[in-house]
Amino acid sequence: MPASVALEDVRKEFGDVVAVDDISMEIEEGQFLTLLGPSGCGKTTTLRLMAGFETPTSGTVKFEGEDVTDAPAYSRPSNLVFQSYALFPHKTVGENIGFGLKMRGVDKAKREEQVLEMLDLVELPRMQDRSIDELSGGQQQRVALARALINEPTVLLLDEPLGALDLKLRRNMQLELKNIQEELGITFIYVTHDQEEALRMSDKIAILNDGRVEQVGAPNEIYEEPATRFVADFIGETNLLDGTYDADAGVVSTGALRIPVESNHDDGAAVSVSIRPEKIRIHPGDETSYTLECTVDDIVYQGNLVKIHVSVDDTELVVEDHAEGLDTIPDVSDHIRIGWETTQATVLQNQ
Amino acid sequence: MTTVTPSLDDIEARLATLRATLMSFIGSDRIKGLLSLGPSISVLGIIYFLPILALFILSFGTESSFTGFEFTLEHYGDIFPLDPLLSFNFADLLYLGLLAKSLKVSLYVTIVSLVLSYPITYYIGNRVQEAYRLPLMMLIMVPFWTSYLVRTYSWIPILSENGLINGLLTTIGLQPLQLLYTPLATNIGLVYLHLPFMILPLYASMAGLDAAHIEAAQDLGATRLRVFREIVLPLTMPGAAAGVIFVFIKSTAAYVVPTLLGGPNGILYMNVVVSQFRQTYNWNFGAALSFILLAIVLAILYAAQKMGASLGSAQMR
Repeated sequence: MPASVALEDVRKEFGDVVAVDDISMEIEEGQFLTLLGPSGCGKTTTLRLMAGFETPTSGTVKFEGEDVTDAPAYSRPSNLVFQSYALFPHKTVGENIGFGLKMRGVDKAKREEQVLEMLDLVELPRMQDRSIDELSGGQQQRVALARALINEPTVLLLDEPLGALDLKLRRNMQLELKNIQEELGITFIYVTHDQEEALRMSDKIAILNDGRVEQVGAPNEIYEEPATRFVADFIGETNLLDGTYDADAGVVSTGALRIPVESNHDDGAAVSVSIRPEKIRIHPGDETSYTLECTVDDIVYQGNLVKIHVSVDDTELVVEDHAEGLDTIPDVSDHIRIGWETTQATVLQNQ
Repeated sequence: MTTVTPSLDDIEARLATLRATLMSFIGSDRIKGLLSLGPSISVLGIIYFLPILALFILSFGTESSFTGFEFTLEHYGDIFPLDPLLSFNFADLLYLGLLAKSLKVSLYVTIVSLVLSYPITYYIGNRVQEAYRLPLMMLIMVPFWTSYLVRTYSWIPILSENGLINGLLTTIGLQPLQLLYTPLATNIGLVYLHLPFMILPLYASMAGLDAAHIEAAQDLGATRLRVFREIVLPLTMPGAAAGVIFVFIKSTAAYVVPTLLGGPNGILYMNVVVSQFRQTYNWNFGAALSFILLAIVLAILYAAQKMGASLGSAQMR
């Protein structure tokens, strides 16, 4: 079965600016894929290329194997939920939701029936005659979702749809969106800059940086096995130590430290070692494969967690641990032992 | 009968309450509001309402200033002559016939201006890059910094018998057309003169359109035509309405264009009004003619507004 959406060497230039730099990816049917990246990474442009609002400078966009590169937005089997919702202010909630059906020539009675069904789905029953400006932000968001879903798109594109909502509402909507997606089984392509949102909702995440795809993978893959230094740095918090790989000794030299790693990089390669703060243990047991002595610089108590900033010579590390797991919380300028398993240190090529 | 002499304290107390009432009245928001409106009301009253009032009174006066002011309805009687009206002899209704012609021309001019302005303002307001918008609008506006007389005259060499258009026609072997001194020339001139009054308010509406609304409609399956019908048209109605009012009123009041481009048979209602003030010095009759036009234009605008409002609410449903 062909991929729900496929990009083949898609490139988009705006004048001298390369917004999308030869991206290729395939999105399987029924998948929840998130395009995640910092602002200006090209994620929204990629989404607009799929929606048909932009034409690629080169490359091909395919929907279910069919080339739609030059097809206008109105003829594509996708629908977009806009960041600003873009609800029509001169139309009622019902007319907004039924708009797509009206454009397809569905008769009025059928339209109204389906609008009512959609209102139930997004939990806004009997709201069809309200005007848009009577709705709260969260309700508008649901109307925007219903307006897109009523057309039974094979692909739903969402451009930071929860960006304007407050945190609590956002959390609820994240769950609801995920539930709706699983219920309907359609492909969701979701753009966000919020990594927590991406990790929480996605089947797969594509990390974009500077118009290129850094890594595509399941949330835990992205977190546990970052493919590039950028991904390791961007997702979650990590200790990144730049150094040189010594293949014979199997260590990365960084400052005064020689960190044992498992890697198949070339000897002498410039690499970074990424160690997540929660993977570092305080007062490790003897069986721990790598330990070192360091000085406590700062302690940040966060209730359930405690974050300890330590240093060895010029190298600074952040260690995170459950507060209750520690017998005593060390003091600033204490000397403590820390350590981690060699397998927890990820070696990444430095560009 | 006993007279009660109020004590001095009593009077003082009453005066105090009176003063307090007075002060609270003067200090009230309504009075303050009226006082603050005072300057603008006086200016408007003097430069706007007084002349109109003077004209209104004049329209009921006799023609001779020697006999002093005498009330008469004869001017309005001349405009609405009873005999032809009762005998349905409409050809004799000279002034009303001209008025109808003027309103018809104004309607044409308004419609053509509206139809021309939509693509122009849509293009500039939505399609053109932001940086080019102001320069393009300036290009439309710059000609209107010169006198409207010059701009009207400039059409004569274009439309005349040996003018630009006929020159082109004869060059490609076609018969020349009579363009100048025709109703068509009047319409062209009026559209040209009044187009900016349609473009400006409509452009403001267009520039205020959210591009996301148009994209959303396209995304939901609307072709260009349906995007226009469903999104652009209803959302730019306020600008279009303002433009229609401007152009319609200005067209009914036009008298230079019909004189210069319409020729001797092209005169419109306003030409008759102007001639009462300038040539025959029959100000009273001129005032009456003006008031008929004012009343009819106001009535048309009122009806149009009512119709627009009921259309708008019907669309909401």
